[in-house]
This record gives sequence, structure tokens and C-alpha cells, in this order.
Amino acid sequence: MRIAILCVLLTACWEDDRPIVWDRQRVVLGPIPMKSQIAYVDSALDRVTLLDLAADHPTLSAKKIGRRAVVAVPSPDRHLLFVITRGEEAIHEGEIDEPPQCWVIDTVHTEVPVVAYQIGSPFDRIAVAPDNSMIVTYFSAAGPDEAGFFRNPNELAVVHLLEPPSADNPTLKTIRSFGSVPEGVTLSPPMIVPGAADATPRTFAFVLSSNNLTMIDANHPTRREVSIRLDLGGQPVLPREIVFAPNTSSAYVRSDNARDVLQVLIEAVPPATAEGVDFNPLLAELGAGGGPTDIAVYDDPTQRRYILASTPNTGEVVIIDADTAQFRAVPISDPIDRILLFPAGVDTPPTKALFASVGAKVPRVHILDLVNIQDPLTQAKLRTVVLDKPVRDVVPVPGRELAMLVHDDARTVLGLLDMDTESTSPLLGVGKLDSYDFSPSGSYLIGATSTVSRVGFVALDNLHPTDFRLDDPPARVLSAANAKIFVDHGDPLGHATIIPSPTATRDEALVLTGFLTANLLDEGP
Amino acid sequence: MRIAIALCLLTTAAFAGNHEVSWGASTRALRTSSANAVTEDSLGGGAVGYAYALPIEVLPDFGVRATAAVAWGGADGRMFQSLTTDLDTLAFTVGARAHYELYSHIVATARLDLGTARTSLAIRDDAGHTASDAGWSAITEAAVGLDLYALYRPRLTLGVRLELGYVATTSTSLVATPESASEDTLQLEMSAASLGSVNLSGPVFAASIVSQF
Repeated sequence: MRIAILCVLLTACWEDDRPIVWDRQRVVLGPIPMKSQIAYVDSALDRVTLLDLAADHPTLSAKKIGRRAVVAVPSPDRHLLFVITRGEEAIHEGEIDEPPQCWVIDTVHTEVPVVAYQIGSPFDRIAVAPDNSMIVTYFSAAGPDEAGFFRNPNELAVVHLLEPPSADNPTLKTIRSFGSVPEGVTLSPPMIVPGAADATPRTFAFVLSSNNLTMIDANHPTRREVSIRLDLGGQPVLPREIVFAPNTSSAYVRSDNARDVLQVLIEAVPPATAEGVDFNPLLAELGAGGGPTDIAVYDDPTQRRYILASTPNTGEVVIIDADTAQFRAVPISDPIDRILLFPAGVDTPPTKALFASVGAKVPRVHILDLVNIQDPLTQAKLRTVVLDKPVRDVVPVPGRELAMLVHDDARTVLGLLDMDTESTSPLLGVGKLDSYDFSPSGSYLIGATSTVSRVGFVALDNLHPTDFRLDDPPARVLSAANAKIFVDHGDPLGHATIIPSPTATRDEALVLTGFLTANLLDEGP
Repeated sequence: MRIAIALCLLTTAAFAGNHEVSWGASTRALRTSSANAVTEDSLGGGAVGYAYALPIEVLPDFGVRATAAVAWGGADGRMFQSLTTDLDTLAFTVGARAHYELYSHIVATARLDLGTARTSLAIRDDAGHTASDAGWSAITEAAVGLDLYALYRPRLTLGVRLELGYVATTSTSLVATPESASEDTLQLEMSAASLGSVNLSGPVFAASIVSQF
């Protein structure tokens, strides 16, 4: 008996259950390029790892977040990182009860504490307002996971980022459904409602779903939403893209299977109650005359807003005056589905538009002069650039009047189209261009393929190619805002090469390893 | 004093020879947070030891031996369902063992060792990415046990030793260093982040074959 008791005691002393935290499933989200930092989100270690590339030597920091991160999205200006954590239910020893939360991480001012908003449901999508004032979290059409008993796909949470978390922030809201679920949410820049008693600029959330467009006054999320039926009785109309004209308080919607570009003009109406809806969408079809496949919006030098829409059904591209709905059609026989404006991403108005047929893989592109295009007495100057190979993708080079043409699915054959001279220059890669980026000034194209331990550079001034030998194959290449090149090697432990500039030598580069498992052994459960 | 030492020399190791060798296996329950991170298993291993009888006798049937041993161990694990870990240790210790004959063929022992241990850790993922490092730490082991002899002659013994003890180690700082592709390939300057420190302290159970001659 004594021996048995002794054996039991010894066994009890020997038993040492490993905390369940070490057996959790781990997913690393990233690399996510921020302003001067690269972020990784670790769903098992519950932390965001930030690699700051601003200084000569990168610095490493970490921010704790909640359990089971599912999605991470940067703000448009890449200052803030938003992470949704699924939370956890305490079922086994070592697990905790934690609700779903949305975490806001300021990656520029790293001393600012991380803020967590309890979003109530495990949403897996985030829409961010252009001015960083608010976000909307919602479910993807597939939903986040199998957990839970009920799931309401039409629920969303409006989070006001300028206000601290409270019982009223975020606001959970279920939008009216007509049998469809949200497929996307786009937040507008601040727009005033002309004629409304409240003249404060507001952000509107546009919820895109099959046959429906729903508008929510995100500044007043408790007010009722406004639903716009898009269906025409035939094939379902799927809203795909929204561009905004904040100066005229309007939005332009491109939908698959729609007849035209839909203009949504916001106007004031007297609210039925003090907290009632005080706006109404005025709808107009802008006369594209066929199902638009792509749209682009620009302001001319007089700040007049124009919309370019391609309508393969009618064999045209249409230039629409957003204020008057007057339009001008330019015949193009190719089924255009990609419109790019040049110069892109700068404050000066675009002067040229590039049209390509990516889906039809047509070996030519078209260039339209936009200067005075609205003048019906001006002849439309549309020129065709014939290429050797079909176009699979077109990407604008930031800050430059160049477009990169991709000619094959493997991205081994590229071309650069100079929008000034309207000439093309071929570029041949040694392998599939798995990852590429442009330097911030648009001076270099930076590319990598996962089977070659090199990073390739093309100086876009003279198309001179160079490359940089790496120690390991790359998985992704990023160009930071300070022109440093970050090469991620796809290692879950953290492995990256930092190249100070496209012209740097190997002596100036640095390999960082183990940053995703930094202090792993010191992390207590 | 000299007379006392001379008496001790004459009376030491009344039941066996002055030399002792042992070979055996051990298992150490890894109980620290850092060890739990690496593996849920115990550290299994073995040891080879040598002991020499010291001329000390304060009681009848009591003796003391100076000991030296080389011990090794290893454990595999899995972390976050995707990373495999490979933990290995190699320890060199010296110390002393006291023994007392309880009955014929049954001897009680107590041991205290000090030494140094090399700990190596490798972490791999399914795609073949590897980070590894090794470091040295101080180690102290204390154990009590029983020697059960099958052969128990004045100049030759052969038996089994069962021990229960505790190993205390200092923490070993490790850095996640990836495997180098080739020795003669010029590599870029590298900066590796710290993995943290691993501490392999824990209770230990050992069984070994022991012989004195």
C-alpha cells in the first residue's frame, strides 16, 4: 500500500502538462508594408511584429493583440494597422474567454498604446475610411470559420476611430437584406449633404451586394440605412466598383450586368424624426449605354469631374461629365476592361488614358488624349499601339508616365510603355515574376521570382537591368517608403534581406533572421 | 591527522574495488516555461560515469566516491502544429557519491554533481526552413538511489542503480540562426534575433548498470 501511494505521488510529481498555448494553430499574416515599417501578425503568439526600416539598422518591436488574428488591413496612408482577432472560448485548461476585437496599431507613433474595440462578432473583413476616421468590419461572403451557432452575414460594425471604445462605439448594425449578403464595403471620403441642417462632412458606407447597394451614414450609424435596388429583372446586377466625387456629394457605381454607370447623388430630405435619415440618394444612369467593364474618374484643370467608362457591348469608351451627365462616346472595337490614367497618383490632372483588353488578351492598347476631350468640337485623339504579344495585365508606374505591360501568365515577358513617346520596350525575365514593386519615386522596377536567389532591378529612366544576389530564394519583395527594399524569404521564423537602395552593394545589405520568433522561449503562456 | 588518514586508507572499500563504472539511461521531466515551449516530452538520454573510492570512512559500510560523468539527452517536439523542434544536450560533470550498505546486495547512494552542459536547439518548418543555435550553461544534479547487486563479491560487483533526483541548470540564451547554404559562399551580413533562453531544469529518474572492481 505504501509503495502504491509512493508511486502515485511520484507520478503526480512527474506529470507536467504542457500549456495549450504551444499547440495552437499559427498563421502569420504579412509582410504588410506600412509607412517605414514592415508588419507581421502572428495568430499564435498574439502579437504584431514591426520591423522599422527608417534607421540605418532596422529595429524590432512587438505589440500584443488578442487571440487568433484573422485579418490585418493597413490604412490608406499606411500609418495605422487594423487587426481583427477572433478571440477564444475557454474550453480547455489554458484557454481564455476573449471576445472578437478590432485592434488599432499606430505604426508611426509606436509609443501610442494599442486600442482594442469589441466588435461583437468575428468579422473577417475591414473597410477603412480614406481619412482614417472610421472603419467598418463585416463578414466576407464565405464567413470567417465554422465556430459559433448563428451567424448573421448582414451584420457589420461601425467603429469611430477618433472616439475611445465604449458601449456605443462600435455600433453593431444589421442591414436590410433582400436575399443577398455583402460582398464588399467601401467608405467614402467626408462629404456634406447639400441642404441638410447638419452641414458637417460625413462618411458614407456603401455596402455592395448582389442586386443591392446600401448606404449607411457612418457618422450616425444608428440611423436607418438606405437601400437601393439595382436589379433589372434579368441577370443579377453585381456592384463592383465605386468612385467618389466629394465636391458634388456623389458616387459612381460600376456593376456587372448593369446597363450604365450609376450616379448616386446625395441630397437632403427632412428627417421624419430627430434621429431619422436626413439624406436621400438621387439616382441617375449616366448614359454609358452598355454594361461598363471598368471606370475611372478624374477632375480636369477646372475641377470639373469626368468619368471614363468602357462599354464593350457598344464598342465604345464614354467620357461622362459628372455634373451634367452629358457624355461623349469614342468608338473602340476592342473589349476594353482596363482603364488607366496618366500621370497617375499626382495632383496634376491626367492628360492621357490608356485602354487595354486584359480579359480578351488582345495584343494592342489604346491611348486617348484627355485634354479638351469634353469639347464636342475637338476631335478625339485615339491612337493604337500594336504589341507583339497579348496583354495580360497593365500596371501604372507610380510617379511616372510609364505603364508596365505583362504579356504572359507567368510574368516572364514584360514591356514598358512610355506614355510620352507611346513606344514600348520589352523586358525579359529569367523566371516567373512572382513578386514585384516599384521604388517610391518610380525610378526602379524591382522584381523577384521564388526559384532564383536574386532581386532584379530595372532603372526606368534608361531600362538598364541589374540584379542583386541573395543568400536565399525570395518569397516577396517590397519597396519601403524610404526606398529601402525588403525581401521576405517566406520563413515562419522570420527571414528577410534589407537592401538600402537599388544601387546598393552586397556589403551594404543586411539579413535579418528569427524576428518572428524573437524571445519566443521567454513568452509565458 | 596522518594516523587517521592512514587508517582510512586501510579500511576503505571493504566490500568492493576502488573503481566504479556505470552506464545507463535517464529521463528528465522538463518543467520550465521555456522547455514547455520547445517540447511536451521529457528529455531522454544516457550517461557514462566513472567513480573512484575516496579514503573516507566515517561509519561502517559507508563510503564516498569521486565521480565524473558524461551525459547526453534529446527530445523532439512540435510547436504551433507546424514547427518541429529538436533539443539535444551534452553534459560533463564531476562530483561525489556517498554510499551506504543497507543489506547485503542493496546499497543506498546519494550524489551531488556539478558541471557544464551544452544545449542545442533546432526549429524547422515543413518547408525546410531551419533555425538553430547552441549554448553552454552550468548544471547541478543531486540524486538519491539504490544499488541492487546481482554479483556482490569483495573485488567485483555488478548490479543495477536506480536514482531519483533533480537537475538544475542555468538558462541558455539562444539565437535563431538559419543554416548556411555553403561554407565557401560569401554571405551577407546577418543579424539574428534572440530566441530567448531555455532552461532544462527538472526532476530526473535514472537507471544504470554499475560495476565496481
